[in-house]
Amino acid sequence: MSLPNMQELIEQELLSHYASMYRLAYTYVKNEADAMDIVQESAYLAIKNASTVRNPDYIRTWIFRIVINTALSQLRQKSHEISAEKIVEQGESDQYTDFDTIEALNVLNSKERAVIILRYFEDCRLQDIADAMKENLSTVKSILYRSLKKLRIELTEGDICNET
Amino acid sequence: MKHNLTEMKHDYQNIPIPPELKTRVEQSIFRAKKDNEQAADVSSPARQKWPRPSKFRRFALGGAGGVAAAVLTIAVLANSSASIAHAMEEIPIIGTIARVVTFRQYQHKEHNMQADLKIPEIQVENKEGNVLPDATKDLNDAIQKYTDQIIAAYESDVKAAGGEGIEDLTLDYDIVTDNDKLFSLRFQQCIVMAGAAQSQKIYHIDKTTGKMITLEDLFADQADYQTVISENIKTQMKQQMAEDETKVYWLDSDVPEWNFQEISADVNFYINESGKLTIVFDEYQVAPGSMGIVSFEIPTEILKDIVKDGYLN
Repeated sequence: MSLPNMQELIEQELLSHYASMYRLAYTYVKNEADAMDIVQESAYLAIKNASTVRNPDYIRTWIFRIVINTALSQLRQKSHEISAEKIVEQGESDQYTDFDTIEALNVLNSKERAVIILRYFEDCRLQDIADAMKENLSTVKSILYRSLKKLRIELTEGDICNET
Repeated sequence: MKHNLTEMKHDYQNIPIPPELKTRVEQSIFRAKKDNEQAADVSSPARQKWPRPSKFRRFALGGAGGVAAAVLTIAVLANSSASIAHAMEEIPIIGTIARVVTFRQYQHKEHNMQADLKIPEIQVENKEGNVLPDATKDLNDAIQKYTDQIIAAYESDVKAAGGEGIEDLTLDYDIVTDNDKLFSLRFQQCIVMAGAAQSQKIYHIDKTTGKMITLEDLFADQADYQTVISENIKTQMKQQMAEDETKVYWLDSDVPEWNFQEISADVNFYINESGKLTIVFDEYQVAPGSMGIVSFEIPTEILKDIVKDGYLN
C-alpha cells in the first residue's frame, strides 16, 4: 500500500479513536494535561511513521502501542523533574479525576495494564495485542492471567480464551 | 477487595475527554503531514540515482528500549569556484575536489533484529586531481569512527538480546549541501525500537586545511558569536510561537532549567543551500518531542562582522 493511502487510513483511525487514545494515556499519567500531550505526540508520531505500517489491520493496535510507549517515556522524563516541580508549583494543580476502580490498575506493571485495557476495555483481540506488543500469544495470555490474579478478578477459563 | 471488570470498564469509558483534544489531534496530524511532505521534497537531481530510504525520521514499535536517530554531517569546504555535481556510474563527483569513490555495506539480520548500513569512502583531491592524503584520511577516519560506534552498539544489542530483541537500524548518506564552496555529506542514522528520542551529531571538515572544524572556527578570534546567534534564535522562537500556536519552544516555560539560554560551543550546525548558517537542535533540547529536530537559519547580516571569509553567503 502506498504511503498516502496508509497515511490516510491512519489519519481516519486517529480521528475516530482519539478518545480511546486519551483514556489509555490517562490511565498511565492520571491527569488531563499530560494525557493530552501524549495523544498529541502519538498522533504526530503515527502520521510521521505511516510508512512503517504494512498491514492496515494493525493500525489500531499499533496506535495504542505508540500511546503506551509515549506515556511511558513521559513518565520516565517526569520522574526526573518531580523534586524541582514540587517546590515551584503553586498555581492551580492539574485535575486528577478519582476513579477508584481505575486506580486499582496501579497494582499492574505497564505491560499488564496494557493487556487488561486493550483486551477488556478496548475489546482488542488477544492476537492483535500480541502482535502490537511483539509477544507470543501464549505470553500475552499468561500476562492476562497474572494481571487478573493481581486484580483479584475471578473469571472462568471461557472468559479469557473465548476467542481461541 | 474484589473488582468487577464491568464496573471498571464503565469507569474507564467515563474518563472525560477534554473538548479541545480533537483540535489538538488535528494539529498534530497536520504538522506531521507537512513534515512528511518536506522530507519527500529534499531530493536533488544529483541524488536521485542513489538508493536510499525516504524518511528522515522513522519509527516503528517493538519491545522495550528507545528510539535514537542520529545525523552526522561532514562538510567539505571546496577551494574551487566551479560548481560541478554530476553522476558517474551512480557515484557522484563532489565539486571538483571530493568524491565518493566507493561504499561498503554492513548488513545483518537475525529474527527481529536487522541492520543495514551504507558507509561511503571519500577521496579528496586538489584541482589538479592529486589526492590530498591528510584531508582524505581525516574525513574517512571520522566516518569510520562514527560508523564503528554505531555497529558496535548494534552488535552489543544483538548479543544482549540473545535472538529475542527487536531493532531495526539503518544508516545512509546523502548530500545536504552542494554549492560552489561547500559540500556537506549527511549521515542519517535511524534506530527503531520503541518510544521516541532523536539525537544527532554533525562533523565538519575544512578542506582547505584538512582539519575538522567546529562552530567557533567559522568566526574571528574572541568574537562573541554565541550571544549573537542565541539572541537571534530566541527572537525566532518567539516569532514562530506567536504566528503558529502549534509551535512550542522552551523559552519561558514552567521549568526554568529547560529554558533555552545560549547555544553551546559544540552545537550542531551546517551551512544550508543559500549559504546561511543553520543551527540544529536535538529532539527535547529546546522544545517538546513533538517538535522533532528543530533548526534555525541565522541571517548572515548579523554575523558579517565576525564571520571569517568564505563560509557564509
